[in-house]
Amino acid sequence: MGMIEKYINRVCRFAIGITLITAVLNSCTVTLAASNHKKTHRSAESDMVLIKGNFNTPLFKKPGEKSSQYVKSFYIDVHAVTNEQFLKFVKANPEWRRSNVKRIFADKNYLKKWLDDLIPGEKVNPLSPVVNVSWFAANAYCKWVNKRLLTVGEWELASSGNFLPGSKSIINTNDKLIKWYSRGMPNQINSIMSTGRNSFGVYDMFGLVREWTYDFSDMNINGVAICGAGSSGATELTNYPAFLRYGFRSSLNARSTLPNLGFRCARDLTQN
Amino acid sequence: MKKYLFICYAALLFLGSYFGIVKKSLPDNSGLKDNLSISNVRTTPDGVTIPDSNVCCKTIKAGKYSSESIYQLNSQWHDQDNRKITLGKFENKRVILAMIYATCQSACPVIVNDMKTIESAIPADKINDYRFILVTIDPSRDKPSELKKYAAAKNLDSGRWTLLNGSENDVMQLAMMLGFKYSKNADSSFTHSSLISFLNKKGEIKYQNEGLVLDTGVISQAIASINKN
Repeated sequence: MGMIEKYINRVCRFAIGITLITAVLNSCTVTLAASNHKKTHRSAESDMVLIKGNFNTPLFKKPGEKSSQYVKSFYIDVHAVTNEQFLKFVKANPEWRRSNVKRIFADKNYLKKWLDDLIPGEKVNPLSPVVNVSWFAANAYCKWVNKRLLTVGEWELASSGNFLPGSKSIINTNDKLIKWYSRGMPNQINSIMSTGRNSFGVYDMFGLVREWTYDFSDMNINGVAICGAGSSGATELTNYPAFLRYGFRSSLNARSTLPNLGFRCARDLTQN
Repeated sequence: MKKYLFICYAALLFLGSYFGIVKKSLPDNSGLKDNLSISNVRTTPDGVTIPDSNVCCKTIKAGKYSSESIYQLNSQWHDQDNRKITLGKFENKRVILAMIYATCQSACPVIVNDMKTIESAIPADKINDYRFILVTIDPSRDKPSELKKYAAAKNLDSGRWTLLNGSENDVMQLAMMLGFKYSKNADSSFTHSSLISFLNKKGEIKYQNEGLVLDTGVISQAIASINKN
């Protein structure tokens, strides 16, 4: 066997070796990538739970409407959007950074507690709900993750789940809830999933922050005066916390940002 | 010698075809492939890559408009001739805008009538500076062809009047900007504000009239407010 043949022999063996190794490595990478891809999809799903369609009684009736309104099944985020999550959104969408946001989309207190555009800072808990965000910002965030804001009806339905036995919720009675609603603006907001989970598997519907809804400015929420004559059109006069929520919503403007107002997202069943 | 060459060739062939297969084996809708070739994809916080076709964040761009301009809402709309337009098209015109729906029997015809009164109050030599916009709050029923019929029935000059159809979320965003409130009733009619907004050349809201039937004092005050700059 001449030198050339020996040489070719070596090169070929080497080539085959490399081919096999690359093939094995590649198939691993591809499988990993594929499973990761599935996982991220799943984790996006697993952050949500299904709320089965049911009748919700809106506080105020619309003309010609029954006192109960059917809310279709939907998925809901189990917790509010956190500072950490919102940071990813502003990183990817420069127009939503504090120094870039247009006044028509958010008032001057937008992300007020953050140190800088892309630095929430040490005083901001990455795992607490993002607050000081406007309706426009919340709406854009939910769209960005292929979701949407909850309607008022959906929010009320999801919050109607009973607290689970043994749940550490501090707010399990109307009295306590009213106390919470009447509290001033908090200095520090606790982490998500710290105030208890209801029977739907949804965390912190009460006790952490208030939340934006898609149709908070609905004619029948805003158009009817909350006090006096307005309440005579209400369907459930004893649900005082609901009055407080409606009153709060009607005081908002889509560009308002408040230190106790965050949001979570929802998704339709039909959307994948 | 020939044997080795053959093995070599087979190895290369294997290598080549393997990568060919790898490329094909990625699911079409995974977005991973698009990531390589198409630039308009985005990555969600969960690491999912999705094509950025459905409006969202792209529609709200830091633009040339003033911070208070409704033209910051850079979404796509269709006019009554089914032409795609963005609201920024009306920059440098003085705009009178209302949100209505075509099948509305009570308030909307009055609002449109009010806008026609405003139109007739503007001197003929100035009228080309003004545009009149009606945005439907019922986009699923008020398709551009329906809006065209509506404009014809109301005898609206198509050179000055634009009737817009947009996505449900864009309509909501515009309504939120204007402070216009609406909600759909069980019988698919709407409860809504009666609101006419007056925008200056920059697209900033300078005057709003809530309620029906304008008097001439209000009209001249409103027009003056958008003529300033």
